[in-house]
Amino acid sequence: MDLFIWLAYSQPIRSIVEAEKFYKRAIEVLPGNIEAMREYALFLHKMGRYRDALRYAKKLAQDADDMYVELLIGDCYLKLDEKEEALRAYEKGIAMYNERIGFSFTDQNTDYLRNLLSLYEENGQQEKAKALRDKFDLQ
Amino acid sequence: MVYYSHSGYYVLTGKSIDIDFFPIFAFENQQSKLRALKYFFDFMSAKELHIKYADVAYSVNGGYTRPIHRYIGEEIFEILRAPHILHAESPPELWTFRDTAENMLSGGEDEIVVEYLEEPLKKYPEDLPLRMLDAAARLFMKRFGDAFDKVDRLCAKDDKYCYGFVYMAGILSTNKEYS
Repeated sequence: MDLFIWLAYSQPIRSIVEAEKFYKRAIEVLPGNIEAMREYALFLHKMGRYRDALRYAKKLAQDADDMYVELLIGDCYLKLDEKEEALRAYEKGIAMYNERIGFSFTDQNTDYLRNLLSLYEENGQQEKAKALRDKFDLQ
Repeated sequence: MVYYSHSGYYVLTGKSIDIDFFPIFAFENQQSKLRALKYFFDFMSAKELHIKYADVAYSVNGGYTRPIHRYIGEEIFEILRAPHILHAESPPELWTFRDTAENMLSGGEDEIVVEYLEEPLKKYPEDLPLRMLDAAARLFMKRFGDAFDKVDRLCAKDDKYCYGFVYMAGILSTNKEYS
């Protein structure tokens, strides 16, 4: 794990190590439990273990059509500097957006949108960037 | 759905009582979970709200209800089956043990919970809610190995408690304070 992430992380290292033991056991005893796998994938992502997070998020995506899982996959790819894959996953996630259900603007989810926005801008896809900004009212 | 029937009673039919509601309701009213349950059913009774049929939604495996609060659903079932429980002079002893331990835990008195639960656990060694509360208290006391083993045994006994691992991992990884 990236030392910076360790240092930036406020939890004592022992808690983190213990948390992983609990998550791993959860995955063993609750095979196919979407929530357990999602929480573990998010934990790994938070720990900066993007390749591992990606593995679980992809498994999750096979079992559940979930916008936020696709966005998480996109984010893992982005952090791994695999931008094409990131763009594909982010867009797949956004395509699942349902206006009636809405979007949960947590910090993390908002970051996903901003990252996609940056990718569009980086690629010169201004129309897509504008559409995304308008759709989610991003500044 | 609640509607006013021709017979003049409020009738609750075919909708769910989500146990998620009670911890929040109790917190907002500064009550224990057991008192919140009684308040809810007394209110329904005062409104002459008759329950024809209802689902009790736990939502534990979806991550909404903490595994330590699963017992609330079990108590709701008991009340629905035997409403006279609420009119007794005192609640069932086991419910009081669970409620007191939960109250202590939510007040951050983890060590006292473990101590307090010694006797109830001797009396009701098979009561999984009491054992779950005991496991949670040990986690908050940083006795991680103990907590892990206890959840493992609970999970082996009844897989509805396996989500305890996710619940505890979440506490450990996000520094969420118990409330």
